[in-house]
Amino acid sequence: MLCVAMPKGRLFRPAAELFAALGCRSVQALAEGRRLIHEEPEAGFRFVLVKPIDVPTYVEYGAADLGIVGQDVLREFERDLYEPLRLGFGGCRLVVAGPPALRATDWARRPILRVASKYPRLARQYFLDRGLSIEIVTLAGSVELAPQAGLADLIVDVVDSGRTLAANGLVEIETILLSQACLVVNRASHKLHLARINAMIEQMRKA
Amino acid sequence: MTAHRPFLGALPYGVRDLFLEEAARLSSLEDTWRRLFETWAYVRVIPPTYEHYDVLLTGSGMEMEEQVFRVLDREGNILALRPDLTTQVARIVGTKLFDLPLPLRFYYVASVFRFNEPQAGREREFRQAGVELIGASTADADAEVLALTIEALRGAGLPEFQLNVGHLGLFRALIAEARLAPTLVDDVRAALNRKDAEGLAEAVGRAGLSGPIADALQSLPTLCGGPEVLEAAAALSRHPSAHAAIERLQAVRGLLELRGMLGHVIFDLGETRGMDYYTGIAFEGFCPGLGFPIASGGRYDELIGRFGQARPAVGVALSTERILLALNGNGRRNLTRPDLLAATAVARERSAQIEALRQRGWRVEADVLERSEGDLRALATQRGIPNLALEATSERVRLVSPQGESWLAWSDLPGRPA
Repeated sequence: MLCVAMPKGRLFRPAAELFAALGCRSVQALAEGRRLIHEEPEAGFRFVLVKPIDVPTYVEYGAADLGIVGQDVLREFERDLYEPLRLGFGGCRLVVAGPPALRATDWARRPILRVASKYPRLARQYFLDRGLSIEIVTLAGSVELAPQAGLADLIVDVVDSGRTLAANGLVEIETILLSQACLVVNRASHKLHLARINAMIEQMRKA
Repeated sequence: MTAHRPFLGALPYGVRDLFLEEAARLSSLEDTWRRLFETWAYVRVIPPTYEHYDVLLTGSGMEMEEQVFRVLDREGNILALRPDLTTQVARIVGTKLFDLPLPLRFYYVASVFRFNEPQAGREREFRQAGVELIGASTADADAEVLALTIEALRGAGLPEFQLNVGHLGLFRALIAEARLAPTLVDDVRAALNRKDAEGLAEAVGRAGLSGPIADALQSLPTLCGGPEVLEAAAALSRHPSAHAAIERLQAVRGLLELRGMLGHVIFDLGETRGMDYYTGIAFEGFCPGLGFPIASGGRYDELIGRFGQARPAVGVALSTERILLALNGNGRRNLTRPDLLAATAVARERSAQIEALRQRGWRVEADVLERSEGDLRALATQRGIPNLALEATSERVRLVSPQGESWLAWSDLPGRPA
């Protein structure tokens, strides 16, 4: 039986549909009950429901053989995983955003920029690669609030439609990364269940 | 000034104590491996724990540089705790043993140090056991190291495991044919190591490649499986080093088939992981229930030449703690208990007889506290020590054993403990 780490939140429904197409009839049940584990013995899958940022951890350690997670999370945490398939859903962009008054030309003149983000590693790398000194404030949520509240000059966050940014008086300044959901596979599981995983990837590619 | 610590027994992150059953499990596994390596005619090498940083990092690559523990000595020399032993063995062979008849076979069982997050049973200080076969560039040498790795994993008691065997020659030949800029090579390599087909297509596109060379690079992630992938790979490139790589893997496949070991092997031509010093076959071992490699090895024909006379070489390192973790508590875990407890007076006055027993393999614990007979009986029961010597003459001993209590001649005690 292969264990799949399923992401809570917006990626859950399309991920569940993907496995429904592979014969897992009631994966949706995970979204409804309180149980965090669900088995589909006939299809040969077990599912665990975890926060998206924990998916790579479960899969790297082999606690799950497979997982569904966004590339934004993958690039932030850089765990050693296979990513054999991009899934076409969960599209979003990781962007630098800030108040309209703060233009890019102003950045370099500030002695230090303060940047709020849930992606401290990617944010730091982006600014340092451009020769800009920054201070990263790592937040767990509501990142859009940080500039209004005076916590940070800029934010680095994922946007889907951009409406949340606009509602909080922010504009997109630059895109750091285009992201979509990926299938990730533990390296040992890939070797040990090679034929089954390859067949599953083919089925998903066709779906 | 010393930082205040709440507790004198505090430990830094990344190290651990092994004692009692866990220490016994680790030494028993290492003993098994030492005996195995010696029956394959490998001899032990014991390099120092730390060396000059630049010597120790020769040929290891950036990734290893970030992981190494650095130390300054009082003269300001930069030293490093060894992150692996292969470079040390290469230095020893290149600088000191260049005139010995080849091939040389060395094994080691030692601690190494890497500044990593502790993962899957492996702390920042961890144990490695490995072999290096030096002075032979043949497929038989590659196959010997792979077969010995399989024997070592079997010997550890792992019921199921797989070696993932690749060869860096094919990837390097394709890169050379494509004349890629170094930054693009990194992109291609990163996508390849993730088996990210679309990422690979993008990187190939960014490099402006098309036609057969682009197709060949993009097919690498799919070249993973049984011996049939070698056939598919043979068609990819006419570059001589690509050809040599596939031919070598075919030969290794044939040799492992002769040994009946192909069931433990899959071929993966899309792997470019491993030490930068690898030049030929490169492989990793995996087992169920553990997401991380338990063994890694490969051919490094250019490393020894950096220290002296060039020598082809191939080797492997086994990750001891990970294998113990994968055994999941299986394997020997009982502490060895004594076979005989000798009262203080017996140990004092009959040391020659006691010594004769020890020579024959008896584990004899001598009481040094002058315990009473009653206390000795209680202690032997509590600790599960089967035999108790309460008093003795030069000829005979009053022995409490599973057969009861009686006076026996020393010479009637069994040659080896039961």
